[in-house]
Amino acid sequence: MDTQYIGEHLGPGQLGHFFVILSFAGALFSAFSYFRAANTETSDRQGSSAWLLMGRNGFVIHTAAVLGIFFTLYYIIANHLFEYHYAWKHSDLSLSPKYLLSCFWEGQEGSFLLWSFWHSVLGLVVMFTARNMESRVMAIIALVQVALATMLLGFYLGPDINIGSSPFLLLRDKMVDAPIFSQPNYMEFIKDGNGLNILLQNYWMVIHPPVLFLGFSATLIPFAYAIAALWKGDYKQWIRPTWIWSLFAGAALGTGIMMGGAWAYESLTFGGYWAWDPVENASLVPWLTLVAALHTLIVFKVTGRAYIITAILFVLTYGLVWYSTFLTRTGVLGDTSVHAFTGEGASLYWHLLIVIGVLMVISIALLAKRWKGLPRVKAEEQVSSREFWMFIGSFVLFLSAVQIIISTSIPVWAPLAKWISGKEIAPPVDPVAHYNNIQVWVAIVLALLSAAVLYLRFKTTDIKVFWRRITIVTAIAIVVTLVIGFAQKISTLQYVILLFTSCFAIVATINYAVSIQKMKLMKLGASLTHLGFGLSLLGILLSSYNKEVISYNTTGVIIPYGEDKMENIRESMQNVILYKGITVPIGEYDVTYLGDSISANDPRTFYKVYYQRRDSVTGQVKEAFTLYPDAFVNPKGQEGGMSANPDSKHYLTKDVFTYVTSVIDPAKREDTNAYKKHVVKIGDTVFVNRGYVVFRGFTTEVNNPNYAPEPGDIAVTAQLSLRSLGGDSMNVAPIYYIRKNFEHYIEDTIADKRTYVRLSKILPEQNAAELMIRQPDEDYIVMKAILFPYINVLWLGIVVMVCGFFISMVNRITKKEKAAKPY
Amino acid sequence: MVDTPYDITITELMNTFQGCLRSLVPWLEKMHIPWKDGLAYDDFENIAEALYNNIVCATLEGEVATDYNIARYDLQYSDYTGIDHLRIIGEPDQHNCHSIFLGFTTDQLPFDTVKVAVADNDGRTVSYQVIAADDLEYEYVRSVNGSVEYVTMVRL
Repeated sequence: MDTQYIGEHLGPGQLGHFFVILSFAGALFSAFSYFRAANTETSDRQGSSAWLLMGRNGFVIHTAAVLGIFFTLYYIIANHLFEYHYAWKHSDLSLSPKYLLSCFWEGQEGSFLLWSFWHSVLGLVVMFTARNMESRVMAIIALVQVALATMLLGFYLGPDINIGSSPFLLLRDKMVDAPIFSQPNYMEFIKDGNGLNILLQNYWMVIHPPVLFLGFSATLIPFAYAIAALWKGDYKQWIRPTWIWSLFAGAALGTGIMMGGAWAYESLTFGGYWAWDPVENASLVPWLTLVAALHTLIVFKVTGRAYIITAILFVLTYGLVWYSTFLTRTGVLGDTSVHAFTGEGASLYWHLLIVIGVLMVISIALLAKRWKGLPRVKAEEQVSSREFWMFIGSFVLFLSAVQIIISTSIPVWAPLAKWISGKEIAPPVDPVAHYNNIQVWVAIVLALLSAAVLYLRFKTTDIKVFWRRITIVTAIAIVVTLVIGFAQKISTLQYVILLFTSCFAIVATINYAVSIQKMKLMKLGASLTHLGFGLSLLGILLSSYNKEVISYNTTGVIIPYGEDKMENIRESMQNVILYKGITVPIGEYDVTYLGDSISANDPRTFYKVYYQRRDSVTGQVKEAFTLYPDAFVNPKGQEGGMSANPDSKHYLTKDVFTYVTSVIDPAKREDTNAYKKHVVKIGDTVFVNRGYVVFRGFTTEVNNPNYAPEPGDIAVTAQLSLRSLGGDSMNVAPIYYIRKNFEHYIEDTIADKRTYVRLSKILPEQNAAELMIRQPDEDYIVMKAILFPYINVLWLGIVVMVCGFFISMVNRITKKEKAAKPY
Repeated sequence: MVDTPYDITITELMNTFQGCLRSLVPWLEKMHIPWKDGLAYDDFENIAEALYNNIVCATLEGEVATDYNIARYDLQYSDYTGIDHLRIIGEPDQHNCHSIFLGFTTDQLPFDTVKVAVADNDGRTVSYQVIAADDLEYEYVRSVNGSVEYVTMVRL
């Protein structure tokens, strides 16, 4: 007999399942109808119109169903219906309402739902704007929606074989074997959910994933137009809408990637905004190929050249979006990514591969079918033409994408390589160096091209005029480079070159905008985008090259960070211990840890760190501010141990980036009455509260009022120097003596620090002493502070670049041009 | 006004296009839009191409062209086989080559010269020249089902 469970709310789940099925059916119906409409548009106009109408209705129903899924899931999460696996796994009672949406993108189902949502919205826009291309383009979009809808179906064909995963699965259906579900009243025991990964509880994480997914989704539209063009052999009409949609996708994806960098900078503690993490790379690569495709599309529009490569790049871009999902969601990357995505099972692995395979097969088949009739122009390649160098730039972008995706995919293809060659191939140990070594040169070439190309004309250029203009710009760029280079002490060759090319890009694009485009806003799209690119490169260079750790540990104490001794030493040098109330100099600041604070519904502990900057002559405080880095112990997710969020003081020309690297785990506070043993040799240090003790040696001179010598005594004093973090120094002299074959100790006390030092043993064979030290467990944090100079140049650059994309897009939309005629 | 159809030679068509370009010069100067060779960038490029497309190509396309397959304004092709184009009427040179119109350029007066591609009998470009625009006559060379037709007059 079936168990009658008590306290479950099955209604929302059933409604959700209905919407899932409806979404799938609506997409399928729409795709079929649009396909029929496209296929009969010349042979049977009336029939085609009828099919078109059905296609529209199907897509609207599909969109409504996607919205239905979205709101039903939101209802389940917001009302804490923990009988549903998704709500239980990704939320809890303490979750702030502003982070409810973040639950969607923590899980696989929510991510696909978000993706499907954006496709639907963009599909509706295409439906109203594509005019006579609607049936072909929408057929492709609806077909992709069918594929996405299958991701949420949740049809179980066997214990380990399923088609998609439903977000409305009950907890008891997901964890069938758990004993708790043998009880009808199991809901009484499920008091709370698992909770959202704390790293996602950040405002950037509320807006970064939707924008990023909007960018991913927007790449579908150029793809759909490209496929539609191939399908019907119509290579003219697709150019303008594809151009506009590519600009939109580039802007959205670029903004999403920037937000990811900003989130990483504000929330992660690797000390930067880009770590070449596979998940970051997976979002960057489609953007690179999209930008390459956009440029070759322009070349095609203006000269009729480069159609084939343009079509391939658009197909590749969308394929890479799916491949990114494959990399990040199936767990194939293993532990090479810091992101908390784990393997979602073999079914998703094959499911995604099949979808990617189908998309690629359709694209290649159409390309092959139309190959002979594809537009080709026997125009002469003019080395002095703009299109030639735009093509070279696109090719460099493509090569850059290839290098990144091949390296990122090592865990995917390494087993195959091992099977073929017998050699083990591992991901790069130092990914930053691995990628930077190549991508710096890519950036150099692109910076040069992005600026120089503006001074070339399409078709052909008067090379004398070009050189005259570019020489002036180059001269200015050299002066700017020298000024910045000397001021920032940039001397490494490749970075000097990068500095020059960045300055060149900035100066050249500004000059182009002012002197050639006369600052006409609607024409500034390209120059603004290229200016933003130059500024971004300059910002990356300045903030990375002179990134400086200012929290130098001058105590000489090695802080244990892990097993690796060298890592301990390196990290110890870059972290300071801040005792509550004790001011420590860090860079140009005097820094004081003032204490911690927690709030009721937040697992994090916030540490109040007070910074003061004083006048070096008068000693007066010139500036004071407080930062609140936070940390939490044993968070959910793969990180384990302590997880910290930084806090930064933002200046116009620099950021002071602060985060805690170690705190006292309340569960591991030591017994303050216990002595701790330390074996020290001469010169060794022992870290104590608010300072450290240096062992200088032994002496037989014993001067202590508590010691009254007797005949036969053997007495030794340990010579210790205590140095406080404030710089004070004092001597400590515990005594060890043997009287009548019994060991005796006279402790020395550092009273104000409530620290007791005992010389408990002399180890002559090791020439060492055994010290027993007792001290109160004081409140402290270990903190790292990094100075990022000119990081705002980077943020400014990205904002300018995205603005350029949008201006170009608006310019394209508002331009009342006739259908493009490429030849 | 009632439009009465009339015939126009390709030469007249090209002269009209040239006249349009010339007439724009004062206004381009007023708007600080560079138009001289080498200095002209996207703005003038767009204007010139739009005029060429709408005055020359659209006329030829509307009248005789089966498809819009005319060589683009100022684009240098390595081979004109299968591409409709405008040719300077005249005897072939000693190498049996003809001159194919690329675009108007400026020497003494605005747009007083023509940049041409010198193509051999097989349609392959062998060199480029700039010649005086005065007294030049043009014909429209188009491919129809593999054969080449020479059009000197179209109906508007």
